[in-house]
Amino acid sequence: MICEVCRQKTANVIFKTVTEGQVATRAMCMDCAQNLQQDMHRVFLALGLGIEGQARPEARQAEAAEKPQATMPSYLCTHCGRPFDALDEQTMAGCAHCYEAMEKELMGVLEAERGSEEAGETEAARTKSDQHTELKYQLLEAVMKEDFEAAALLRDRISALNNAGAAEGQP
Amino acid sequence: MLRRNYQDLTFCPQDKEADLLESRRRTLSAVKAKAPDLRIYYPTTLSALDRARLMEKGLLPVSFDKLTAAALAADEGEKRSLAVNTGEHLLIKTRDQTGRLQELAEGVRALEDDLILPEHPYAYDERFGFLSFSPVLAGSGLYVSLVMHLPMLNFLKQIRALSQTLKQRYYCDLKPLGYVEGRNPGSLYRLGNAASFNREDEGIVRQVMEAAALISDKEAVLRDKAFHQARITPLADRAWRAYGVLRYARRLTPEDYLSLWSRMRLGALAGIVPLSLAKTNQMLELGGDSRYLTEGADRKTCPFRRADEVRQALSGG
Repeated sequence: MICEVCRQKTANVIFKTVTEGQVATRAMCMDCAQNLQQDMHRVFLALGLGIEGQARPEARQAEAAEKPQATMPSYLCTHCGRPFDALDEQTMAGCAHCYEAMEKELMGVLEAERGSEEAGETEAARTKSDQHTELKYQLLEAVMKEDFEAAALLRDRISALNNAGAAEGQP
Repeated sequence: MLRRNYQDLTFCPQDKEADLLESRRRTLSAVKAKAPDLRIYYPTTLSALDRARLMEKGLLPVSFDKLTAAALAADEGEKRSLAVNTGEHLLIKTRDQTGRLQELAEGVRALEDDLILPEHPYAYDERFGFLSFSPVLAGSGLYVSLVMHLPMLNFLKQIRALSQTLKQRYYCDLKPLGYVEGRNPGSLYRLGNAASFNREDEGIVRQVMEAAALISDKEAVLRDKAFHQARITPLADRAWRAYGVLRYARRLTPEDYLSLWSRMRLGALAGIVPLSLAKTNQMLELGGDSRYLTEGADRKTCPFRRADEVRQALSGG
């Protein structure tokens, strides 16, 4: 049996999770199981629970206070148990319910990308970008024609444009 | 390409084995009932020949052999295909060489309509659209792409800067195609939309076409400058050398061939090498090994068979 997470190594660990009375079983390799265990350990510590699942509020809260880096993941899907810390191109959803867990941030990410696409660059930024690209092509043309004096002037203009953009905080 | 997942099953690649098998069962039962002209391939029974051909066409992931619950359904010619459990539950694809993206988008929608199971709806949310295993890909699920040959932009290392412009203006990305050991000998790139959230099919197609026009214009300007305006034309010499080697070579590995083909095609586009564009486009098919394997060659003799066919195509000696 192959690991259900990485789909590369042999599965030799069985994880059972109980969510709202329903038991889910997953087969994983050791590496993926350790990763999941670390994720769940952070959840348990943040909730003040022991690794064995027994409530020891005082002791575990003290331990959690000593180890501030053991934090709860940003999102946790209550259906498939998948934890999420970040939302980027590498993030993978485990099921349709994962979208509910990260609804707000995901809408923000998707609308931000959509907004940048719709609004586009400001006119000034577009003009500057066009000018920059045009200068680069002129520089290439000058180099190919071996007009190195013109190429040097163009190079200086491009540098000035880059410096002006950096000063304005543009990428 | 359309990305689809079933609402009630866990997503790839985190799927449970049972969910994966159920996803495949549903999809293939719909294929057998409604699109019986599609041939079905399974990882466990896929022949080496079929694997080589389908991977060359980009229809199979490299890890297909390890995805025991995956499958691929494709028609003859592989113009319509459906990949099951290779990332999403379903990846519905249509492809051709005409570049008519709107028709291809309509074709993939038609194939989706044929395969929809009312009793097993796709994962969909009013806010996000059709759901993907990668949340940032949620939306209509449509991915439209073109393969472009960009030797000048590649040679002058302009691809990265251009990619940033495409991302900002058209929300498209430009990825190298056919990498061989970290290199792109054929200067081939795939231009496609980066996402489909809150976007209509026509808008996606239009933006990809506009981005393609922008890239083509830039490539043409550079080609013109390099071949007709510069005093020294080393690129013209490279094009002629490539043409000469291809006409008379006795052995051509895939990497050698792609590199020489790219230079020769550049020369044909510039009007220097006496070949039509249609001919050079057709010759791209000679790069893969699968056509020679089908004819009975093995991996060791493929480079020789390739050289034979290239010489025949160019009427070399």
